[in-house]
Amino acid sequence: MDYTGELNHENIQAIFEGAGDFNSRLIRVGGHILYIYSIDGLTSGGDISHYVIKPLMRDGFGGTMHDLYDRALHSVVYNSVAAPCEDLEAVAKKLVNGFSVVLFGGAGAIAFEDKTTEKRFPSAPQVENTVKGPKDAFTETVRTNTSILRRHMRTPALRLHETIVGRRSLTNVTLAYIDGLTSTELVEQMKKRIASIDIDGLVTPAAVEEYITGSRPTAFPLLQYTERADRFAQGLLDGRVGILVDGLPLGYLAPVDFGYLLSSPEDRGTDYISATFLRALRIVAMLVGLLLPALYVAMSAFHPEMLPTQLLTAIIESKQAVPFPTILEVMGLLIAFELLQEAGVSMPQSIGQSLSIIGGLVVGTAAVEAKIVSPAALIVVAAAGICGYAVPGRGFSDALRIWRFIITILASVAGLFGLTAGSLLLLVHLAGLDSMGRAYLAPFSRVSGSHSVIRNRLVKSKHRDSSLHPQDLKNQR
Amino acid sequence: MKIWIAAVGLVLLLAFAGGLPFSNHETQKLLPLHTVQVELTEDGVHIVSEAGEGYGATWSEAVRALHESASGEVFFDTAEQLVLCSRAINIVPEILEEKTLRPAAQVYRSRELQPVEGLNEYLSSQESDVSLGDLLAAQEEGMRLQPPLLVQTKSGPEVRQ
Repeated sequence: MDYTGELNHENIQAIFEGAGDFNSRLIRVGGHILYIYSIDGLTSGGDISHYVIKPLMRDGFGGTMHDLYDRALHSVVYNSVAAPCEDLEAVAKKLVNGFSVVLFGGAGAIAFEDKTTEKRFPSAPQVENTVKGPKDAFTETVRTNTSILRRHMRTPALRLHETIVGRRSLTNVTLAYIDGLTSTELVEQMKKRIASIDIDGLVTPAAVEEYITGSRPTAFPLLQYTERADRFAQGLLDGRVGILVDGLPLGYLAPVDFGYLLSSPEDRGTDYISATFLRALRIVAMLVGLLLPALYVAMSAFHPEMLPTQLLTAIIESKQAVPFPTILEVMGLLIAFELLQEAGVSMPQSIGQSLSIIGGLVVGTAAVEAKIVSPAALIVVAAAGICGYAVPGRGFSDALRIWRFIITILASVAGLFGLTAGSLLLLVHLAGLDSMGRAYLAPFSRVSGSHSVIRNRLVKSKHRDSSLHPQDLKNQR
Repeated sequence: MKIWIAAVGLVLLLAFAGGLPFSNHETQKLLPLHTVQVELTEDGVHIVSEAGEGYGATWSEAVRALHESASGEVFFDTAEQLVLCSRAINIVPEILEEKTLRPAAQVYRSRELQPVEGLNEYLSSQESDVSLGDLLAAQEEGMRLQPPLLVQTKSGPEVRQ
C-alpha cells in the first residue's frame, strides 16, 4: 500500500471512497473541528462514543489544536492504546485493523483501539480431536490465537514477532518462538522468508505454505499445521518456530519431518506404551494404504504364482464374471473412492454422511452383485482407503494418496518390479526434501527411530531434539 | 520435473508397445489347476487336468497342447498334486527340468488315470510325503524316491504309502 499526500480529511476520505462500511464524523470541540473515522464492523461504535468522543467533548476545551492533540494523546481519552499516525498510510492501516482515528487538522491524527468483540470464540478442535487434552482450538483472529497461546505458555520469553504480509490483504502474520530456547538461526531464517513475501494477498492456507516453504515440486507438506494450541505450544517447546496468520484458524510449525507428520495429538494424551503401539499401527496403516492396491495388482496380474493357491483360487473365482482386467478394476475403484471423498468434502456435513453411505455401501454392494467389480478388489481399495485415514494430517495423507496412484500405475505396468521402482522413487523423493534445512527423513537417520516410532517416556526424555539446534538442550532436570 | 514426466511417458509408451519384459495375466481367464495326472503312452505324454487334456511327444509339447485346447489360460503354478500314471515316473527328469509345476506339489503314483472329479479333495486329505522338490533333490544326489501309490478301490481312490 502506498498512499502519498498530506494528512487531511479529503485525502483520508479519498482512500476509502465508495467503502460502505467507512464512517466519518465531524465534531466541534472548543472551536476546533475534528474528524473521527472508523470502519463499521471492525470497531465498536459504543466504545468510540464512550471512550473517545465523550471525553473529548467534555474535557477537550481550551488551547490550540496542538494542545488538544497532546491532551487527547496523553490525558483526556480513556483508551489504553493510542497511537499517533504520522501519515496517510498509518491512518489507513490502523483503520483496517479495528482502530478509530481522530484527525486533528494541522496537528496530526491519533488512532484509538476500539475493536469490536464480534468474533468467533475458541471452540473444540474439529479435526484433531483427542479423548483427553484441551478443547481450545485456534480461531480466525490472530489476537485471540496469541491469547490462547499465552494461556498455554505463560513464559515472558514467548516472542510474538508481528509483521504485515500482502500488499492488498495486509494480513497480520505472527512468528512465535521462545527466546533463549529456539535456534536464533531458525528464527532469523523464518523472519527472512516472511519478509521476502511480496504478494497481493496472503489469505489462503496454500498461499502461506507455498510462499513460506518456497513452493517445492512436492505434494508432501513442508510445514505442519495444527488447530490445537497445546500442540502448537509443544512444538515451540521442542525448539520449533510457529506461525499464526490472521484469518486462518490454525497455526503452522516448522521445521517438519516424517516423524512429526506421523505423530498425533493423542500421543501426548496417553501413556508411552499405548502411544508407541498407536504410532507403529499408524506406520503399518500408512504402508498398507500406500502399497496394498499396487501389491494386489502386481500379485494378481503379474505374479499369481506367488499367492497361496487357495487365495489365488478365491481371487480368480471372485473375478470370473467381471469383464474388466484387474488393473482397470483397481484404478477405477481408486478413482471412485477419491470422487466419493471429494464429493463428501464439498457437501454439507449431513448430506456428506448420506453420500458416504450411499456411495460406500449401496453402490459398492450393487457393483459387486452386478459383477462390475470383484469383491477382492473392493476389499483391497476399501482397506487401503481406511488405512489412509489412520494417517494423521490431511496434507500428508493427501500426498500419500497421490503416491498410491503413482505406485499402482507402475505396478500395473511392471508388476512387483514397478512397485519396487515406485517405492524407491518415493524414497528418493522424500530423501531429497527438507524443511527449513531439516531433512524430511531425519528421524530415520538414527537407530532409535527417535520420535517417529517410539514415544519415549516423558520422565526420561530429558533433552530436546538436538538436530533442531535449540539454545537450551535440556527440558527437565 | 520435465525429466520425470518424460521418463514416465517413455515407460508407459514402452509398456503399451509391449517393449517391457513383463507379462501380465488376465486374472479372470486363469484356469488354475489343482491336480495334474500324467501318463506315458506309446504315442507320447498325456496330461489330464481339471482344465482339459493335452497330448504330445514330450512333456513340454503336451503342456503346450493343453494350453491351446483349454478355454482360458491354464495356470500350472497352483497345482498341488502330480499323479504319475503308468510309466510316467520315467519322465520325471523332464518335468523337473521344465519347472512347469511348483516344487511343493505333492507326487503320487498310480497304475492308471483316475477320475478327475473329487480327486483333488481326496488327495488334499491324504498328503504325500514326497514332493516335486524332494524328487529334484533326490535326483541331484543320485537317489531314487518312491512316491505313494494311488489305487482305485470299490469305495473310491485310496493312497497306499
